[in-house]
Amino acid sequence: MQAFKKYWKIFWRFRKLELMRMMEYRGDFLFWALVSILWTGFNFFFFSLILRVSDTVAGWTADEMYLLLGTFTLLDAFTWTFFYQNMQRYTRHVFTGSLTMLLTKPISTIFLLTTSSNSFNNIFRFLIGCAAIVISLHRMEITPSISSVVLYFFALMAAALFIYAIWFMASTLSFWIEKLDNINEIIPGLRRVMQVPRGVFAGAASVLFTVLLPISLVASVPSEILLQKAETKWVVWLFVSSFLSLLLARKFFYFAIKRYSSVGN
Amino acid sequence: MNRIAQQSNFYSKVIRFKFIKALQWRTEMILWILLDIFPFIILLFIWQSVLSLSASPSISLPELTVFYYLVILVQGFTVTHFEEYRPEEIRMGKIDFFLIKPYSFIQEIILNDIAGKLLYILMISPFLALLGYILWHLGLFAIPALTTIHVLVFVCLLLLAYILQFCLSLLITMTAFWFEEAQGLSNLKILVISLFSGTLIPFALLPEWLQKVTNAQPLKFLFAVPIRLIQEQALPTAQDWSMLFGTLAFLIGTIFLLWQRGIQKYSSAGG
Repeated sequence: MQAFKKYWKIFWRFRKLELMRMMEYRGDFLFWALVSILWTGFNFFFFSLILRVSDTVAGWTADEMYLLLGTFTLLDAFTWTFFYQNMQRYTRHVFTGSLTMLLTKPISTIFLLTTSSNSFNNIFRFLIGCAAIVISLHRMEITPSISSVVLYFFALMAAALFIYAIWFMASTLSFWIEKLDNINEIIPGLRRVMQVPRGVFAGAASVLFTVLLPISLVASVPSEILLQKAETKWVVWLFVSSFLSLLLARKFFYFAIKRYSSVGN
Repeated sequence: MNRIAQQSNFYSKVIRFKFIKALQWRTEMILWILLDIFPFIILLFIWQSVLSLSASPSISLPELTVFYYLVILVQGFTVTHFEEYRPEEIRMGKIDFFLIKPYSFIQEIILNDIAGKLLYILMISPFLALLGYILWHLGLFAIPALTTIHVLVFVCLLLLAYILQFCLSLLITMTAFWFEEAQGLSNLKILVISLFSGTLIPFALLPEWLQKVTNAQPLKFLFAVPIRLIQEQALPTAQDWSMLFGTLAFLIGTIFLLWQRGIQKYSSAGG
């Protein structure tokens, strides 16, 4: 409990520092917030074009699709807020050898690597995601029960943890691969898979994206929970796979760290 | 004549040197290629699910496949990204070196980008060939019947689209003399191009207002015009050519004006 308190305090201290940094560059914040809003709008527009051709995507109606996109936007805003900068710094630490400094700190290295930084540019995206969900539910005249909402938030958290774990594992590959600055683009490169219903994928692709690497579940399953059409096995698999991937990411990091070296070590 | 030969020799040597230098980033380049191709494959899944549930689809899956394949091809051959890091060099005062040499910053950008592009084309070509073969094998890819004229015009359009992309990137880079967020403009560039150049979905499927907007401005030469040339055998009109060359002339003029003004304003520590 004492350790948890310590980490909790440090986590919020980091957020305070980042907020102060953001306030120092207010113009920068506003500019990037505008860019992120435009990209979110663009994404919704793209799917509205697809929905002009057919009323449904893999059996999901337009309103259901917007709910799914809203959920994806929430997740995406969260992951860009907390993961992108940290993962970039992580790989840079490995490439430059400055990881040594972090390894000697009296605190978990993984915690330090993945929580020290964040950006606030995606706050408006987060709000757009929330608005899309509320509007879609209203248009479909669905009032989710409290238990559905609670389960939705837990599923979202599991999804965020899953993205965190696979992103962290991808970044950890930097211990083996030199001069690969775009290693942190692998997971963002999979985002298109997260934006669509899992039913889009058939055959081997379905096995790959729902079972082996269940990224197509991360926005689909929470949305299905709100739409009251979730299948228990997929909800369970989302939680289990998140937990397993977290364990795997941690083990992989401690395995990888054995081959780390820097000047002076 | 001798001077031209000397200059050509110099430029080819620099390009060769830059090409060798770019080779050290080959793994990164392969990853970029895969990241470019991957969303295309996902889009095919999305469209397959959309069309399978549509009672009377206005387009077939093979047509869509060829469209997105051409998007990747045109993108691979023409897109430039140097505006993502070059503005930093101006803002951090790292271009002094080019101001005192008979080799300007703009020349450096041009030659570096040509070398990088040549390498990228060399590397993406086998991937595109393999992808085309797999799609053809799956019955999703029909090679359109084209005349020599169409092929020549297509190659010409690719070259001009590359110059247009290059000019837009250079224009953004030049704004770094005045504007701190020049790198961020790169994001806006991608957004505007994605929206108004005809990369999203085939032109015929766009809403009428977006078709009109796309047709009325020169960004259509980046994707819509070359793709329609292949898919619909629609050759650009004289009006199209004049719009394209007019835009290029305007952009090149603006770039040189900004460069002239910019270097007067430029300062660096010790510079």
